[in-house]
Amino acid sequence: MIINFIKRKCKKIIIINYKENAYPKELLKLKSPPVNLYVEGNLELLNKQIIAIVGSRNCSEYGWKQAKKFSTVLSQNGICIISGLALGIDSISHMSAMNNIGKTIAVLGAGFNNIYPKENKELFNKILENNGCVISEYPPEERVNTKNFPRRNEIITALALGVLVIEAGYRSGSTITANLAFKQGKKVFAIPSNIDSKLGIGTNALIQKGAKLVTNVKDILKEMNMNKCKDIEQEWKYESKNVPIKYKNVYEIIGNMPIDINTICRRAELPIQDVSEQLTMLELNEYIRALPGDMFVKV
Amino acid sequence: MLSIVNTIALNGTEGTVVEAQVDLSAGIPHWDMVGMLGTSIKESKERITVAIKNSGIKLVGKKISVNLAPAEIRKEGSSFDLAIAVGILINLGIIKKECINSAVFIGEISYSGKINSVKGVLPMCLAAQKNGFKRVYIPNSNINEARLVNNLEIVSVSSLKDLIQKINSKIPIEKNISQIERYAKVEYDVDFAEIYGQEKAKRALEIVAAGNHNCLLIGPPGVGKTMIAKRLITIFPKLDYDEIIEISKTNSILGLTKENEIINKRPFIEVNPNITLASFIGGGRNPMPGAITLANLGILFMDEFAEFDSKKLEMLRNILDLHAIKLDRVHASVQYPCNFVLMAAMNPCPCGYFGSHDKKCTCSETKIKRYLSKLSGPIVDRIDIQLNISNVEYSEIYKNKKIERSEDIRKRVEMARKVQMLRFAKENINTNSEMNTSQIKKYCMLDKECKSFLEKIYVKYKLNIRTYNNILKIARTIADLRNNERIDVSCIAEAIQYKVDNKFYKKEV
Repeated sequence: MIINFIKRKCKKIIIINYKENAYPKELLKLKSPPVNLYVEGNLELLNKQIIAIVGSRNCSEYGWKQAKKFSTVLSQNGICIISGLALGIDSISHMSAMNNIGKTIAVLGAGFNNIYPKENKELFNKILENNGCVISEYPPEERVNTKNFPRRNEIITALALGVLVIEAGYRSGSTITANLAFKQGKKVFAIPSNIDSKLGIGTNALIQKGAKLVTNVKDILKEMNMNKCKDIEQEWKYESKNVPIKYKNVYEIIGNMPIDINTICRRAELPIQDVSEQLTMLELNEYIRALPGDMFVKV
Repeated sequence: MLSIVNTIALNGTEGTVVEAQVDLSAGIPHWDMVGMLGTSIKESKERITVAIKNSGIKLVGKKISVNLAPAEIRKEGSSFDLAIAVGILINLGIIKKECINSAVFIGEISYSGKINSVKGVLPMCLAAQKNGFKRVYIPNSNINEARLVNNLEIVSVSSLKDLIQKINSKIPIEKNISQIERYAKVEYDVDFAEIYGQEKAKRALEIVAAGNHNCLLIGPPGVGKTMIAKRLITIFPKLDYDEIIEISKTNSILGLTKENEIINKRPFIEVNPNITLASFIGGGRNPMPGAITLANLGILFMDEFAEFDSKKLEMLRNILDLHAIKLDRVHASVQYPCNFVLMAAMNPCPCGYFGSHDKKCTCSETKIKRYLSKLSGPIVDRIDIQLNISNVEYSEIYKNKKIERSEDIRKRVEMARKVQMLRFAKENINTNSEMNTSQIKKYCMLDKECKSFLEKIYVKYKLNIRTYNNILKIARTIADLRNNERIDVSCIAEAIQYKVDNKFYKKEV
């Protein structure tokens, strides 16, 4: 059944009833599967190997980096990334998957005409442009209601083979998702965090509970009996990057933790104008990344 | 008998010569005054009669008519008292008519006969000089500001008796020569050496001072945004004669000049978000200068920039382009200069800690966006330098490192200004920040390497054309500070570090 909605004339939303063949089998295993599934974009993705990446909306630099890394390498291995189109980890996972010719699925917690959060409308459009897929349990006019979010998480975990949790606070939505995944018998992967980090409480607790601690993509693939891990050599080896000797001095001061420009200047013992210049060069060539507050971090 | 005495009326900072035409005739005692007068002038007849009486002069049985010509100009203020009184004294035969040729009288008279200070003596003296007058009589307490005017005989008087004596004694008075040396020694009570760490901020302010660029400081509370801003004036080039006159003029109109104080520092005007629009841009029935005009040739510091209401910020947009403000009111339409450097300071988010490494920000992304939405694109684009200020590490506070003093930095700034003066000799601008698009094209010549470098940047940071021009302007100033004739890649690379809007608050993917 194809309906052209007045508000979004040019785009097509397909409604799949649970009795139809196209309905994902995984969802039927749920206690109460959605009766109708509203889908826009590439339907075939639903039958692919899917891994969910979830995490904090207000993620740290560490989470940002790990989400990018795992999403990228998983996509390169032909795995489809599913997430919830929220801010933070979700957005990064979607984006990185798309940037690496991977496909990605977003599950909405509201109707198609009420993308939440509004900032991610652009991302929503981008996913569809890149032949990705967006699904929702709710009719297009359904308003945003946070009560629906755990339900959305349930669909995410149901569609995925496993769930990777990157940074989750104490009793956060991501923890709920992981617990749902445990209940559904899915594999749960967690990236360990610093035990002092607030955003690590959830993930570390999940590891205690039996989630698999992962440090690289290989760990995930092994667990899923997929050993063909491609491009693992290229897996984020920043050490091998050839930084020109001119900038090496400054580059080596910048680590994986964000560092302030004034501190860099002091440690490099160079005039600030030279440091500024070199930082721009390094950033332009994507050796480092600038963060708010004049902080810099290695890519 | 009719006597004519000259005085000056002010409209903004421009003075017009006004003739006080005083006529005394025998008749029923009566006093008439015409010439579009404000309340304070209408009251002057009371002051003058009493003052003349109290100076021991008899003024009885006279019909007095006074006309302040030209009648089409509206006149306000009490500075016409002296001229009217002198007119009466001539009529009474106490002062000789010949003695007041080519002289201008300015001052307010009190009941006791004392001459009180008035506002705007400096612009009045300048107008007198411009109109070919040789001598001015001014209140004693205004002598300081009047002394700035060259080639004018300045006579300060303390009372009516003093005035009569000085006029009639016919002692030759020497022409005033403004002693600019008096202004040469500038002492600030703050210095750059007091700032620990903050290397980047210091360098940025050096660029600000060298090229007159506007600057926005972003940082958590308590890291020293205000402290840094306050020290900016110490590295600005010293004032020259014309600039001192210009600053003193504004102060004179507002009556802010002090008897024993000379103005030789650039103004640092701090405004807070609660300021009214009238005191910010100027206003009133007779438009008076506001904070922006007071900051002329100096610094306007706007703390909590994002808390200002959008009306003021949008006004600022225009002001930053034109360097002048035109105030049209019922009684007058005045243009005031406001060529200041804008220093704005704000927190990166409502709680203040976004991007800080000491404390975690508790604001949601939407909250931050709402906070920042006040700063419309056009206003941020007009601020060339955007600067993050972060906290100083404790180890920095007690380091025995040699810290540069303001004086050393100022020397470099003055050098760079000289380079700019030479370059813009044929244009009607003085500094890099004032360059328009065609001037940028002309004076920021780029070689092939720079062009391809800028293209890369343009694409990576998604710049718009105005930001692109801003970067070129900053790069030009950096090149001037290095005394390079051409802009090279390293200048541009440094300049980019002072544009943070692309990485401020957004978590890009």
